[in-house]
Amino acid sequence: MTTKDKINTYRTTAIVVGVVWLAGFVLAVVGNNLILSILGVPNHLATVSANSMQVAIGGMLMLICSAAEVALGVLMFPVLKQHDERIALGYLGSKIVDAVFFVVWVIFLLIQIPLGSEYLKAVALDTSYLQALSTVSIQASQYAYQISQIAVVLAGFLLCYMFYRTKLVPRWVAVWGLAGYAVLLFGSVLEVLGFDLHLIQTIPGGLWELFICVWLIVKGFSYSPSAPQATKTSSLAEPLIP
Amino acid sequence: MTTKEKVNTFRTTATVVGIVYLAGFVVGIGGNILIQSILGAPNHLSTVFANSMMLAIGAVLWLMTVAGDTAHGVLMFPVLKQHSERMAIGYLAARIIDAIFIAVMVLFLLIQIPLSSEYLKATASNSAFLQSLSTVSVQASQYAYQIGMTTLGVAGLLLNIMFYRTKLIPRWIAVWGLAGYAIIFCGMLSSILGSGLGDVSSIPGGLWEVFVGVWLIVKGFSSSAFVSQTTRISSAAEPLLP
Repeated sequence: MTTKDKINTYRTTAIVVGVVWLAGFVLAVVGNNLILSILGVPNHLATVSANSMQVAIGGMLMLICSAAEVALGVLMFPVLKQHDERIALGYLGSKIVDAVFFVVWVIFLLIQIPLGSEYLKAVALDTSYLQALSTVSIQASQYAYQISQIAVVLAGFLLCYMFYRTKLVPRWVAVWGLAGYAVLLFGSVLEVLGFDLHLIQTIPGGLWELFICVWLIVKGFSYSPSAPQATKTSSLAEPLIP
Repeated sequence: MTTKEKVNTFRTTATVVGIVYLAGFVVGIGGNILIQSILGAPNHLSTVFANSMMLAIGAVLWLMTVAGDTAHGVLMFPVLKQHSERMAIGYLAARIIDAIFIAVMVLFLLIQIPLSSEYLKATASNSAFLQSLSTVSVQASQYAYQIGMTTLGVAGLLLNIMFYRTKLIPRWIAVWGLAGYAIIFCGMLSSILGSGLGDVSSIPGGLWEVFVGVWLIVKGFSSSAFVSQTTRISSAAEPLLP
C-alpha cells in the first residue's frame, strides 16, 4: 500500500477522460445526423426554416462536443506532463485548434438557417444566388471540418506516441491508435485536395477512440512497477532544482 | 565539464526551432506563390475551379505553417519557463491564436473553389453576385491573415523580450527581433485599417526569422543563460520537488 500511496495512477482521470471522450463521440454522431437529416435533403433551403430548431439543437450538441475536445487536452495534461511537458502542451494546443475549427464548422452549418429564411422571402432572381451561397457555405463547413480533423490527427499522434513510450495503455493499443490516425490524416489531406472518400478514413481511428474510452473506464492507465515516474522525470534532463 | 553535463542547454530544441523557422518561411512563401498565381489572375473565378488542386496544395502548405506556428510555442515552452512561466505560456497562447487565424485565412481561400464551381454554373445575373462574394471573401482572408500576423507580432515581442532578458541569444539579435516584430505589429494593425503596408512591414521580422533560424541551428542557445538558472529557480519560491 505504501507504493500505491506514492504513485498517483490517475484512476479518476482515466474514467473521466473515457466518459468525456465517449460522450463527445456520441453527441457528435447524434448532432451530425440531426443536421444531416435537415440539410441533406435536396433543395434544403426551402425546408430548413421550418426545421430550424432541429439544426440549432444539432449545432448545440456539437458545441458541447467541442468543449469536450478541449476538456480532453486539459484532463490529460497532468498525466502527460509527468512524462513530457512539451507533448502535454502540444496535445492541449492541438485540441484547442481542433475545437475552434469544429465550432467554425458549426457556424457555417447554422448559417443555413438565415439563408433558408432569406430564401423563402426572396424574389425569383435572388433564389439561385442564395442557393449558390448555401452550397458555398456548406462546402466551407466541410473545409473547416477537415482542418479540425487534421488537428485531431496531430493530437492523436502525440497522445498515442506518449501511450507507446510510457505504456500508460498496452503498446498494441497505442500502435492501433497511431495507425488509425495515420489513415485519418491521409484521408483528410486527400479530402482537402478534393477527393471524396465517404468518410471511410475515419473507421480505424473511430473504432480505436471507442475502444480506448471503454479501456480507460474499465482498466484505467497502467503504471508498470519497473518504470516509476520519479526516475522518468529526473531523466528528462531538466534540472529544475539542482 | 561536470557543470556542463548538469545544465541542459536545449541544444536539440534550438536546432528543431531553427528548422521550424526556416521551414515555415519556405513553406509559407511557396504556398503564397501557388495561391497568388491562381487568385491573382484577372477574373480568377472562371479559372480557379480548373486549378483547384493547385490552390488546395497551397492551402495544405499554409496549414503546415499553422502546425509550425503552434509548434514554436510548444517547443520554446520549457526553455522560456525556466526564466518566466508566464512569458512561456503567453508566448504559447499568442502562437495558438496566430495559428488559428492563419487557418481561418486558409479557409477563406479554399472557399474560392466552390465559389468558382458555382460561378461556372451561374446565369449572367448571378455571376456578378458571385464575383462580389469572391472579392469579399478574399478580403476576409486578408483580414484573417492580418489579425493572425498582429498576434504573431505580440508573440515575437514576448519571445524577444525573453531573449533580451535572458541572453539566450546575443542581445543585438534580440533587439533586431524586437524592432522587427514591433514593425510587424504596427504594420499589420495599420493594414487592417487599409494602409496596405502589411507585406512591407513583415520584411525586417521575416529576415530576423531566417537569421535566427540559421543561428539556432548553428550556434544554439548561449549556455551562459542556463548557468544562472539555478539561482533564478531557487529564488522563484516554487518548491517543485519537496
